[in-house]
Amino acid sequence: MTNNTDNMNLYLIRLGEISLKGQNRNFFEKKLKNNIKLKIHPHRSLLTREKGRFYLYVDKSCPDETVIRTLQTTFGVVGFSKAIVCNKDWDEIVNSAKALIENEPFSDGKGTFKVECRRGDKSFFMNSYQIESELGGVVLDRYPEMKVKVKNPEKELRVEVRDKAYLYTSPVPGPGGLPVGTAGKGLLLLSGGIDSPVAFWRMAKRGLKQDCLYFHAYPYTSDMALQKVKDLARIVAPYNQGTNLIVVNFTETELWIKDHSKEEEHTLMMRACMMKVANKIAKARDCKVLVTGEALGQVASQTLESMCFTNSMSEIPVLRPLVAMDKEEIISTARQIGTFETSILPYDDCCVIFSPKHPLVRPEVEQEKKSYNEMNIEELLDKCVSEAEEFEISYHV
Amino acid sequence: MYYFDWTATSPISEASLKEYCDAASKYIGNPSSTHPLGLEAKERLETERSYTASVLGVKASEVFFTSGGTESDSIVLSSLLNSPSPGEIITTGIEHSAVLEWKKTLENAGWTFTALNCPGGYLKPESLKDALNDKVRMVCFMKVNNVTGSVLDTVSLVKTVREYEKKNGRKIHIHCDAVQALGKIPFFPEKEDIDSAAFSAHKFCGPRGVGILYCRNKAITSLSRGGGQEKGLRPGTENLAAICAMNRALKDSVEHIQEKHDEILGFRCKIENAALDSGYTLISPSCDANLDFSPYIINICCKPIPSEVFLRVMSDKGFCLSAGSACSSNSRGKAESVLAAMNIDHSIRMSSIRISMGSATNIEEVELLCSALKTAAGELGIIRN
Repeated sequence: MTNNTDNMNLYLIRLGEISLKGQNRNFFEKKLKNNIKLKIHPHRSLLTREKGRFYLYVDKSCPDETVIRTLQTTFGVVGFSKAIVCNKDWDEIVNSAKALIENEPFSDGKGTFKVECRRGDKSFFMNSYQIESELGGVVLDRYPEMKVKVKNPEKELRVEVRDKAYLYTSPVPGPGGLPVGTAGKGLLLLSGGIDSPVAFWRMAKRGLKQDCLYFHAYPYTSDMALQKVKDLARIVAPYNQGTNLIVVNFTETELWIKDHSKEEEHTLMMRACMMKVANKIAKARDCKVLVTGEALGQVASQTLESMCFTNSMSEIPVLRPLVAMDKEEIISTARQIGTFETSILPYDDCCVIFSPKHPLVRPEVEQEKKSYNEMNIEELLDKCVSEAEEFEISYHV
Repeated sequence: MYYFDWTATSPISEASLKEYCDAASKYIGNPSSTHPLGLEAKERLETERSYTASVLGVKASEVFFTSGGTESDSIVLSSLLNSPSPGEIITTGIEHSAVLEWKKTLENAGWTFTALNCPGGYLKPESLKDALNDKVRMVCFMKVNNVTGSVLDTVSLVKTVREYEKKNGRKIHIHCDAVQALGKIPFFPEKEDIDSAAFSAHKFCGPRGVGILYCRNKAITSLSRGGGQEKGLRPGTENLAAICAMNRALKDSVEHIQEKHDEILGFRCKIENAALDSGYTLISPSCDANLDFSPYIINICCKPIPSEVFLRVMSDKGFCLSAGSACSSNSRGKAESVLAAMNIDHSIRMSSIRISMGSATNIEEVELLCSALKTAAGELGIIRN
């Protein structure tokens, strides 16, 4: 690998929270660099850190769209902008500015802007003010509806004249958060619904790397439901730098529960079994926590009492990032990350015959633990774990 | 796979396919062209029209070739939109979507769209009589219901409408969707005093994409515009090869209509008995009841298992069946609303399974199906309602 940046595009990346880290900063930055490089691979890329920013050089053979989608799905990136590097020649600078303003955020041709220049090389024949006003004219010629505003403009065009001339625009927002992998590893209970992919996204945003676990009950749930879960995992996987989807065949377990517990307890017993299986799988994969998409009071199995019971069935902590969110808020995030349309496809992840008409909403923990033990189901759960299937879901955007 | 979904579509017969290929290579001209090749195609087209007419017992000038049942229904129902003053159309809640889906469009145009309930799959002439009023311009009912196989008493229904007409003095158009009837049970629209009827080739082993509209009412006009083919009712170059192939399949079906009917009735009773013995409930009319039904369709209930789950189990055993409903909470099956209009209980509708047969169904397949139904019932815990 050479450090020659000719024939490479330059992107400036803004870092948020991680640039405030103290002694751990290197750890976070290194993770973020690796996460970005992994997604851009096999295209050659080069990352350097300067003045609280990342300079990302990517081979010109890599399409802009790939870099943009990579940065939009990599937590730790607060904002980014494509930059143009050119010689300190006025005509070249003007042409670079013209090319830049054809893209976001200038391309809509509306709103307020300013041009800001830093002239490191004082020998350059124009001063900063001259450069700013000349390039401001270039923008106004192209977009006559735009207005100059020096304080708090909506858009900025920046020029730095140093060893070369660097031009870039105000950044497009990135997803923010912390680089995935900096918080360790967890196991998400993924269903085909709206909530769990959002829970996955929110935990990934705080740096948690996750594997996904799905409980399949063919023929009571269809292979289309499984396909839907795979599709959902594929949509959110880039945010997590790729993931592994573990599919457990749950048919025998569900039938056993149906035959060995009271109808109103079916859902609780099913949740208990899921927790047990998830704990076994998490342990084997070195996952420190479970993640679910539960929101307080959303359905019978998500009341405080039910959550107390499901917690009691797990040895490791159960994180519920959506616990205090309204359905509307969850849906809005689901739309934003692109999972909503897939989540609402009509392939149910649980068959009506396993859903009691009147489920217990305020279960008593000790009583339910007793019911669980009476089912004598451990052997069946071990079988579920040993026969689980695993699918690798790519990090590619 | 053992195919028991003939109501959805039937495999094209070898004879029909051969006829298609022969006609497609022989008639290269457009029937509207005036050169010899065009005239030759035109002549064959009119020969086919006369044949279709003879099978239906109607005049050749009242037979129109279309793209299938849906289009035939649509031509008749959409023609209401051409009417200067909207009135009312009375139909049944158990019709195919080709009819029921017109509700919104017609209502938007000011029409009243009344869909009568049909308890058990039958429309009582008294219910129709009660619904008739001086705003009604069209009455539309099917001959054979595609979900349960019930056969409507079209003769009495027509009589009811005609008696009202006489009293009221205003003409009412009667349309009949006979897609599941043609080639399976005797049906002669003109003899029954029906004004228009829809038929589809792929339900009787003809090709897909071709069908028939019988229409004797010259006031029916199409919304489509084009080169004036089929007297403007269905403009567009005629699909001559498919029409020839359809008539070939039609010929084979009507030639043996009674023997086939009797044979399939035997299968139908066998399946009914096997299903009842294994704990299923019958949704279709029973062989023992004194009701008119098509033996080609039988609908059973696999309660408490949702239809969709049951279909997957049967599909794994090698059988292609159809759901009477969709179990997924966020999608409502079309057949489900048809069963609701038959006043069938929700829990039964959710577990409804349609088994349908056709000319090539044989006793071996039927016996395998009966034993598979029994095994599935044991595995899944099917409980008689």
